[in-house]
Amino acid sequence: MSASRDQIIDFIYAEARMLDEARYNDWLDLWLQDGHYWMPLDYKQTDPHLVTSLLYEDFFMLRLRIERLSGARTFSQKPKSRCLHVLNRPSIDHADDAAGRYTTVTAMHYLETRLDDQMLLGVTATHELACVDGALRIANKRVDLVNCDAAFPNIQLLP
Amino acid sequence: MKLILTETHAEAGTIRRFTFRAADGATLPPFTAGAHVTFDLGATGTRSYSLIDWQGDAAAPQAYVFGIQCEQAGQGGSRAMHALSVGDTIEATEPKNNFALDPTAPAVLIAGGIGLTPMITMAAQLQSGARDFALHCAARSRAVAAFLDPLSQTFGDRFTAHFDDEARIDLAAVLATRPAGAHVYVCGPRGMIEAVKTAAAAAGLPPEHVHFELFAIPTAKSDDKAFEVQINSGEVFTIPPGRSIIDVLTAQGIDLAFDCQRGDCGICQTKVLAGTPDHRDVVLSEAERASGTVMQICVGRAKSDRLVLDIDAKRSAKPAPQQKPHPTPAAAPTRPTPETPTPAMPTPTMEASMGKYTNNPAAIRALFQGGQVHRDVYIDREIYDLEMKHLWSNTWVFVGHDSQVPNTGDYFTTKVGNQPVIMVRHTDGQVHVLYNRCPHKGTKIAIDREGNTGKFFRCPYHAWSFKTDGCLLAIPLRKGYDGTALEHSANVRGMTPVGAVHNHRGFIFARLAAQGIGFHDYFGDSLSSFDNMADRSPEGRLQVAGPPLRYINNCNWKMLVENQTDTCHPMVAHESSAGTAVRLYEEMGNPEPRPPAMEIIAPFMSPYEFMEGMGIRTWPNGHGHTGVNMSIHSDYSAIPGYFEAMSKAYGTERAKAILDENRHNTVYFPSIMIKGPIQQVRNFIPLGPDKTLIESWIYRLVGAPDDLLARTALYNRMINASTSMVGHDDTEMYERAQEGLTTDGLEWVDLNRLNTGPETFDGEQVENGTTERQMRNQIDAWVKFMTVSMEGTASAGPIPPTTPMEAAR
Repeated sequence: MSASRDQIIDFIYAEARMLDEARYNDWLDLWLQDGHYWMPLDYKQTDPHLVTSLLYEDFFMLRLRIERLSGARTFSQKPKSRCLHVLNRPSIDHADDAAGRYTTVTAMHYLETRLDDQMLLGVTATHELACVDGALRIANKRVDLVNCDAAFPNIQLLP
Repeated sequence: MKLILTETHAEAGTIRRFTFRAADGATLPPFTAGAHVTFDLGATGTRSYSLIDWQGDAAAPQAYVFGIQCEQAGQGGSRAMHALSVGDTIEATEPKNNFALDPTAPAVLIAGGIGLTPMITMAAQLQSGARDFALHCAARSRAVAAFLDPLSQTFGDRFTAHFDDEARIDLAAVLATRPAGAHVYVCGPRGMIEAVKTAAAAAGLPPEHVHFELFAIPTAKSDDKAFEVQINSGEVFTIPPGRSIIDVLTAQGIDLAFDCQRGDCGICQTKVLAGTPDHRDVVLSEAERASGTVMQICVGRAKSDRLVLDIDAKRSAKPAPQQKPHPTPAAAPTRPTPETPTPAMPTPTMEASMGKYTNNPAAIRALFQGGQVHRDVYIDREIYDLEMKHLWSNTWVFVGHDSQVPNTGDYFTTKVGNQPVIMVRHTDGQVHVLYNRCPHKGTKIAIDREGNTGKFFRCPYHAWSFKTDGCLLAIPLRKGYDGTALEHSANVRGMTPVGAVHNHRGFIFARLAAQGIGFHDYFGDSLSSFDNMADRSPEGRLQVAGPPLRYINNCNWKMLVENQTDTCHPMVAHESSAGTAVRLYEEMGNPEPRPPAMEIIAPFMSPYEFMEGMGIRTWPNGHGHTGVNMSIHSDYSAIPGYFEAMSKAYGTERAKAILDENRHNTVYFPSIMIKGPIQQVRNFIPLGPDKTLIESWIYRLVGAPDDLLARTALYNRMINASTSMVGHDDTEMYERAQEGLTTDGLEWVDLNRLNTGPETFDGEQVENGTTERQMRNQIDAWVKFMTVSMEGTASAGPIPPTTPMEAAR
């Protein structure tokens, strides 16, 4: 079961748009349940387990994160933040049509805003995609911030 | 860096011009007049050549240009350079300057032969700065003199050429026509430098106005002989012709401090105990040369058969005291006490002396009354500045962990209060903490967060160098300071150490003030929380695990510190994360094993009753902890193999006692909070009255299973990252409070929970876990250490107009 080049690239754009439009349940449906969303703390970090990361979240944590965003007593989201991903065209770095597994690398500008504050992050997203029952899904996602070692204010949504 | 040769051009004689660019197309580092680049010529060794800049492009060079004379009789360096073809790449250092120009003073530039290359850049810079200067270039003949046309085109009648076969340069005449106040710069062979020095002295120029650079690496003289060097251990080494003392001794593993290896920098200066040195450097004054008691061992040789040098036979693999051992007793200055008083910290030149709190202890004390704290404590700029001057100077503040600097020369840069410091492992094995500035002009010595500096720090501006305990090692052309007031100032001692340093179980604390409370008097029994954290390692020690989380909160640092023992906020502020987690898990049917997140996050929803039972203990001086009886960290699942390892190390009973202690948050006022069961340190670094940098560090329990560290890393990112859905709500509360306190509706913050009567904070006390006593304890210590070093502490000053009771009316 394989995916075409266009399907893969469209998928990456569509995923970013779901986050930008706060369609979080649609976004969560993209994930395989054993996947991890990883945002390393260190430049070129290789280990998500024995040193700190900014995020290394399993499906339960991602679900919790999304539930929280719509909660009535989520004080840091009163008012809500908004975000915007501006994507470079994704590169397909690895394609295994027989197994239906693909790896893409996409450079992005990530904007997050709330009230008078706006933050711009330079981001490289690495998606591991799997073709399951004819549809592309996210097996794992790694997001590297170009300034990962800087001191940040709250980053409340998902770069 | 790698350079690529893009152009060569034959100049006069055997001189060629070489143009290099960065091999990877990157921008080349800038340089200053007099700078050189050292090329790696493989087996031939390294060779340094001065950078030429005609246009004033040195600040943003498009290319590096050199003029190199092929020395057929040399050691092969210039021949190797001349053998390069366009397109070849070569390793080179970034530009370095041992021959800096003072661009503000008029100058006489004197070049011998190919020594003119740095002079071109100097002349160009002086010309662009409209400074008065004269450029004199001496060469053996017109035929071998390079760059004659561009020199006269560019510099006009400021340029004069002198040819030995026509009329030798008359140095006395050259110097006689110098502009008033001129400095003299000379680059050329040794004979010429000596001649200029003699002529300059005769012309009445002060020695510090005469600057030299040998244009080539000192080459072996044909009549050099082998000689012997004896060091303090009695060992004797033979130094053959063509090898330096440093070459021979370092090859035998003797640990030496050195830098330039061409007799410029002064770092390798060594005492001569017996024998007659043959000086070949440009560092020593004539008096020093004549005394024969010191020499530069990178270039110097011997006139006698043997030199006895004051060198300890320290092998590089085995750190031991390099110079006289400096004892580092607990809580004591880490180097010999200077004879003249050193300021404990840089004395602020400007202080808000017109403000209402400066030197007014009564006004400070009046900010804490009836269990309430005046808002100025959190929002006032004058109070913040006074905190930096007094509170953060008089108290013991966290610096780092010694596993961050395991090897000699390893350093870590951070702040103590608002003071940039370097924590460094000295050659004696001790960790020292130094103010991060050069005593010369203030340049920060290190700006990367960590690294290894080798045997010494070297300021990148003028190459002043310092031992890793801060002591001054060398100043290039130091004789320029002979007889100046520098020799009698604090600056000459080097990088200033902080007032006192103490290492407790690997954790490094500093007190900026030279005098003050001792480490153990300050922390007392509160150190039991650190001890429990370290005891949780079967080997009794911790090791830093990766870089810290770093995040910024737009609030006062004390809001964070107070929140560490605030047990009435989690079930409210964290309902959105912890409460939602509990609900989700129930909806999933409480599956086992629990998702890892549940173990960490669910206890944040513990009810008030649980928090009351947890208990709070306070110690004097603002320290205290939550979780006396049990805590939200008590119910973590057992990690296979861990208890067995602990029992083996401590015996079952002691192991159980260590692990049964589940203290939640221990505040070491003012700077950190630690979590013993999690092996986490949260460091609060104030950046302003309304801005705080937080660093959250984690540590490995040495000898314990990896799964424990994995849980610690999970906790750190889940709860404390700038991306944490738990941390987001804390930040929201602090920042809202910071803004709310600016309103004029009320001026006082209330900390009265379970404050039923007059209380004192001079002993240990355990209370109900929802008390705000620990916050009051912190403010009590705040007042104490704010006022202890204030002038007028004994006298009563005016009290601010509002008191809580007045405000309540």
